[in-house]
Parts: sequence; structure tokens; C-alpha cells
Amino acid sequence: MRFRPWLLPWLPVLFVAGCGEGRTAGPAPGEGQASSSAYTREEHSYALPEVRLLDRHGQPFAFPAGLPADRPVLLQFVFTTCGTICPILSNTFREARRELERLDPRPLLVSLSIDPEQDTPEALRDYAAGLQAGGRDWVFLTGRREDIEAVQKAFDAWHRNKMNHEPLTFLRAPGSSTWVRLNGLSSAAQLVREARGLLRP
Amino acid sequence: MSPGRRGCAAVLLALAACSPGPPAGDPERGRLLYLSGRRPDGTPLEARAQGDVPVRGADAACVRCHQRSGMGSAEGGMLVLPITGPRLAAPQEWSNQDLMRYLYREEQERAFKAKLLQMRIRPAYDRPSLIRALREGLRPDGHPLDPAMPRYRLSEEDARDLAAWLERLGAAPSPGVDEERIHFATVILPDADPGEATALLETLEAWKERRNQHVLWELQKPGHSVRFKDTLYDALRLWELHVWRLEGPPSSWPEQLTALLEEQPVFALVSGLGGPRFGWGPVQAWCEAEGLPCLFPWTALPGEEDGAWYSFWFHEGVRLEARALAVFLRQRKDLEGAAQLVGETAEERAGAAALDAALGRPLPRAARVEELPAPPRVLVAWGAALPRPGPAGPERVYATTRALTARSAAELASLPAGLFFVTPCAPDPLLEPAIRQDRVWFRNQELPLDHERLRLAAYFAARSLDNALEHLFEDFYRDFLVESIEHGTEERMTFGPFHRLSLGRDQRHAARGCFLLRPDPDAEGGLAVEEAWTVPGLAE
Ligand code: HEC
Repeated sequence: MRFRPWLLPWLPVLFVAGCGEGRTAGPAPGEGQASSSAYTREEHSYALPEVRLLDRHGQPFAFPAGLPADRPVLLQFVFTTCGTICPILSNTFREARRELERLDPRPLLVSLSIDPEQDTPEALRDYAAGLQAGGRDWVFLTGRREDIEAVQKAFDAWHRNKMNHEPLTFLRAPGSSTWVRLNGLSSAAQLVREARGLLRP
Repeated sequence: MSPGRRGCAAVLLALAACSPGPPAGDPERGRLLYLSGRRPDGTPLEARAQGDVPVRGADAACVRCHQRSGMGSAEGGMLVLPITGPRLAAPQEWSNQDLMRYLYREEQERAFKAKLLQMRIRPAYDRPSLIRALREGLRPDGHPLDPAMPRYRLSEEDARDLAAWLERLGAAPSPGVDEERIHFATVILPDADPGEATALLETLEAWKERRNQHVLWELQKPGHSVRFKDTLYDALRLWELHVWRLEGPPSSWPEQLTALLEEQPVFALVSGLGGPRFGWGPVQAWCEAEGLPCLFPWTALPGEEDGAWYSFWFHEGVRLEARALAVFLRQRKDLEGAAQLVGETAEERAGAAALDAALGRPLPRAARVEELPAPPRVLVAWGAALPRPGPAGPERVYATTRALTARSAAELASLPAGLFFVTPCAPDPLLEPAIRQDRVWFRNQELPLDHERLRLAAYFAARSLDNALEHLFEDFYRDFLVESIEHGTEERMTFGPFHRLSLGRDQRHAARGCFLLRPDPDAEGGLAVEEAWTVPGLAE
């Protein structure tokens, strides 16, 4: 039995600890839309492991070498059976795509599964079809569990239980090795603005 | 689609009989909107999340976020509120149980905790305010809901039907629980091996005894009374474990099960044992119709009902082994001169058929080696018996978990070279250090470790159930239990005889790959890894 009533007195402490976060303030809720939410923005350079992943067609994808250096890259961790946040994350990509495709150079969108044994290339094909994600500018990746975990850990985005994963979007400017990390859900317009921001020096 | 809700069907019938008027809304149509995000004519629900992100159809279905039970979820720092009828009809106040549910078991982000702190008590919903919440995202007191809750474009009819379904959702707790006790059953199929059945039942019984002792001890601690409302202690129940032994042919099982359930309502089935002759299919179908969760029975032939929701399996049994074998045989160039040894049991035949399907062509098969058209170079053996490789026989023999679990570590270690086991079970060294903890528990209960894999699996099933129940507190809904198992499986510290198990929404097979193992007198447990963990669907 792992029943832990002794945690009760600690509840207020847990709460207060949540308020003193040291992250930089994120952008204000966007453009007068009453209902778009705030996210926080950070910049990091990550040491990414070199792994061999698989795309939705079952073709090998060398990561991170396969991410184009001369185009913006937008990356999210998702999985196809995820309930709440992944459909929103992926649909944000889908909605933002029309605007993103007009940017020069054109961004590459990457949805990387954190549930690789369930998300076989076949499952990713179905998922991508549901998002009408045809074409080459949006890739869906899976792979061996150890490799995927190594990538997540490198992005400081690993949770032992995938069900507790957070909504994150990573953006990299052409020619840069720094990643912009968006913590939380954004609106599609906010995401487009962030991507545009990458291209402005 | 599998309703599995006789209770609801009865309510609906009664309603249809007395007050079918459209103003009340059609809960069955509401249920369809809730579960599929589609109307009966197939048109999708449409909504906007995060201000400007359109979601439709399955992505807009309430079930995606609020789950089938309506109890919501707390995933990825996102708190999805419960929306069962009783919850919506009352002012929202956070009980200790709610807070604990969201916090103590989860590794949650700080922002999430801060958000919980800011949650304001809201007044009760009525029909008009509920419909306004769905369309405009406003609570009864006018506060906006989080933008992750989509704002829906709903017709009058859609809104009424959804409201009618929500009012019924979670209206009554599931059977099998009272103020003091919670009842579970373990099903033993007629073809189960008696020795295995004893090992399994001994393990479950010991677990139950230990757990109940602990609960009694908690309840008797001074300062805590069972009647003190809204403490966590209210949620504690003593376990009752019933053994349901089925007899006769599978066609007679549903009737037996129904009679057993009527005599003693249970909240869920836990563990269970089947042999090679029949498979678990008929039990699964029955559970589905009853809406009764069935957690991790030990079987090599799980049911394969389409869209079934209530049964959880460790893995797909011989069907998984067959797909992995296809990968191994190809990789190792062992297809040429290969044949299958297939007995009369349902398990063996299902395995052989799945291998033929995975290979895209049938391998020669017979019940005995002598009956094969030509002496095989490579033999796949689906039963417990092991033909020996060697100069007089095949060069290599591939066997399955069935043959593996029929032998002790010493027997395995002394098998000849050329024999391999395809199995989702991990060899002992890969289970370290977790397996040591489990073995200590067995030692403390003074239980033997014969049929060790089976015992570990039963122990896992019981602990999984217990952990999932903790998450329910007093919201004793079977659907919520299913969701709790989906959510929590990956968090366990030990996984029985498996290296790792993981589930998710609508995922029902917790292990997705196989090892190829070979006898090794020097390895602990008598087996060493020949081919690493391989997930057939991920093989290039
Ligand atoms: C993408 C996820 C998502 C989907 C889909 C969704 N909801 Fe929600 N819902 C939420 C979240 C998150 C909240 C909590 C909002 C908050 O904290 O302010 C919520 C809150 C609610 C509330 C308010 C509960 C309260 O106590 O105030 C109701 C009612 C509700 N949802 C009904 C529905 C119905 C009915 C559907 C389907 C038509 C639905 N939701 C679909 C995420 C979702």
C-alpha cells in the first residue's frame, strides 16, 4: 500500500512553491483575444544525441542531422492516443501551417512521438492523415524507445509517465543552434508570430 | 461501439416510455456527440480552442478531454474538470480528495499547482448556464473557462442532447462497492493448469490479506473515524476476492458468468487464468457487454473484439509472438526449410495462423514432426512440448512463452543449443533490480516462487488495481477505474515478468515487443538474450 495521508498537511506548501517560478515572463495574452492563453518563452542550446529515427513511411530519419540547417524548424512532442494537449498542439500546427508556408525559407514542422511502441509508422500515417498533414514540410517521427527518451531528455522534456508530459513547442532559426522553447499552449497566431520572429535578425 | 451500459439503456427506455419530448433532449444522441464528436448523420461537431485553433469531430469529442467517465483528467499540466451530472449540479468546491487526486500521485508542473490554487469555487450549473458554458466558455458566475476548453458551435438540438447526456453521466456509482467493502473476482477457465491456478490464487489471496490488514490498521489509528466526511479514509474499502471457476464449453460461459455476477456483484475482474485450449475471447465479450473491467488475466490468447474497452492484457499473446517471429525468422535467414508444429488447441492454431499472415505465405504445418512433408531445417513449436534440435532433427527450434513457462530455470539452462524462445517476458538479469523487491515480498508472505512469471504477473495485476483505486477515492465508477489504469500503468516501479509496461488512452496491450532468448547455463534464470527487444510494427 502506498497510501500517503501524511501528504495532506503539505498541500499549502506545494501550492506556494508553485508561485515563485523564476522563468522569464511570457508574452502577454495575444492580440486582444480574450481567450488565448499565456505561455512562457525561453532560449536554450541543447546537446542533442545522434539517433536513427523512423518517419511515418517507415524510412530512417537521421536525427538531428536530418533537420534542415537553412530553414526554421518547429518541433513538438506528441503521441497519437494523447487525450487533452496533443490534439491542441497538433491542431495548432495544422492551423498555423497556412501562414507558415508563406515564410521564406519555409519552416519544417516536426511532430515527434513520445509513445514510439504504440506509434508505429502506420499509426503515425493515420494520425497525420487526420491532420491533413500531407506534403514534405511536416514530418512525423517515431523510433526505438531508448532513442526517443534520449531526445526527450536532451530537450529537458522527459517524464517517466508520458501521460504527464507538458505542452512544449521548440523553434530553431536557420543557421542557429539555439532553440526557443515555448512552455504551454499558444494560439496559432502566436505560434506564427514566434516563427516570424526567428527570421527577423 | 460497445454500450456496455444496461443501466443506462434501462433508464433510456423508461424515459422514452414516459417523457420522450424533445425539450428534454435525447441523451443517447448526446452520448454519441460526447463519445465521437459526430452527429448521427455523421457531421462533425465544430469548435475553437485556444482562441483560434479549430477542432472538429474526434478532436472535439468531449471524451478526448473529459474521458468516458466524465471525471476529466490532469495530464501535462492541464486540469480538465469533472463534468458528471452530480458534479455539475452542485457548486464546485475542492475536497481534500480532489486535491490529492490531482497532486499527490502526479509529477505535476508548478504552474499547474499554482492554477489549482487559483481555482475559484463556482455556483451550480443549470441547463441554460451549462449550454452557455459549451457555447461561450463561461461559468455560471460569468468567469471565462480556460481557453483549452473549446467553444462549440451547437444547434439547439445538439445543446439539449449533450446536456441530457451529461445529466445522466455518473448519476450512480457502479455495483460491487458498499460503505465498507469492494468486491472483485478472478476468473479461472476450465483449461487452466491446476498448479498454475494454485500459484495464482495463492498470490492474490496473500496480497488481499496483507492489504486488508493495512487498511484496518489505518482505520483504527486514533483521530480517524470512518464517519468523518471528506477524509481520505472514507475512500478505503476492504477487498473481497471471489474466485469464479468456469466449467464446460465456452458457449456456456456467458450464462455462468451472468449468474455469478448476479449472485455477487463485483466492481472488476482482476488477474485470471486461461490454458491453451480456449482463449479469453468469450470472457472479453461478456465483460464488454456488462461494462465490467477485466485487468490483466494470464493468457496467451486474449480476446480480439473490435473496439473493446474494458479488458486489459499484458500483451497480445501468440499473435504478438507470431509477428515478432516473422521479423526474427526473416532477419536470421531462417525462413528456408521452416515448418510449424501445431497442435489442436485454439492457442496453437491462432499462433500458426498469425505467423502465416505475418509472413504472407503459409509454412508447412503438422501436429508431429514425422507428419511433415519433409524434415524441417527450422521448426516453430507453438505448444509446451519441445522437439530437440540436433543432428537427427531440425537445426533450430523456435518456441514461445507457453514452452518457456512450463519449465523451471534449471530445466531451461540445460536445454541444448539451437533452441530459442520468442517471448515478451524478460530474462532475469534485465529485470534487476525491480525483481528483487518483488521476490522479497513473496518471501515475506512465505510464498514459494514456483511458476514465478505467473506469480509476478498476478502480483502486478493486484497492485495495479490497488493503485488505480487509490486514484478514484470515492468516485467508484468502473469507467474511471479503466481510465486510471490507462493513466497509471507506466508509473509502476516493477512490471512483473516484463521489462516495462505502458498504456494510454484506448491502449489495451501493455507490452508491444518480444525478446529472442536462448538457454544459457551461466545466466541467472537460465536464459540469455539472443535478439534484443523488437517491436514488430517498428521493424524497418
Ligand atoms: C480539448 C479538451 C476539451 C474538450 C474536447 C472538451 N473540454 Fe470541457 N473542459 C476542458 C477543460 C480544460 C476544462 C476546464 C476549464 C477551466 O479550468 O477553466 C473544461 C471544462 C468544462 C466544463 C466546465 C466545468 C466546470 O466545473 O465549470 C464543462 C461543462 C465542459 N467542459 C463540458 C464539455 C463538453 C460537454 C464537451 C464536449 C462537447 C467538452 N467539455 C469538451 C477541456 C475540454
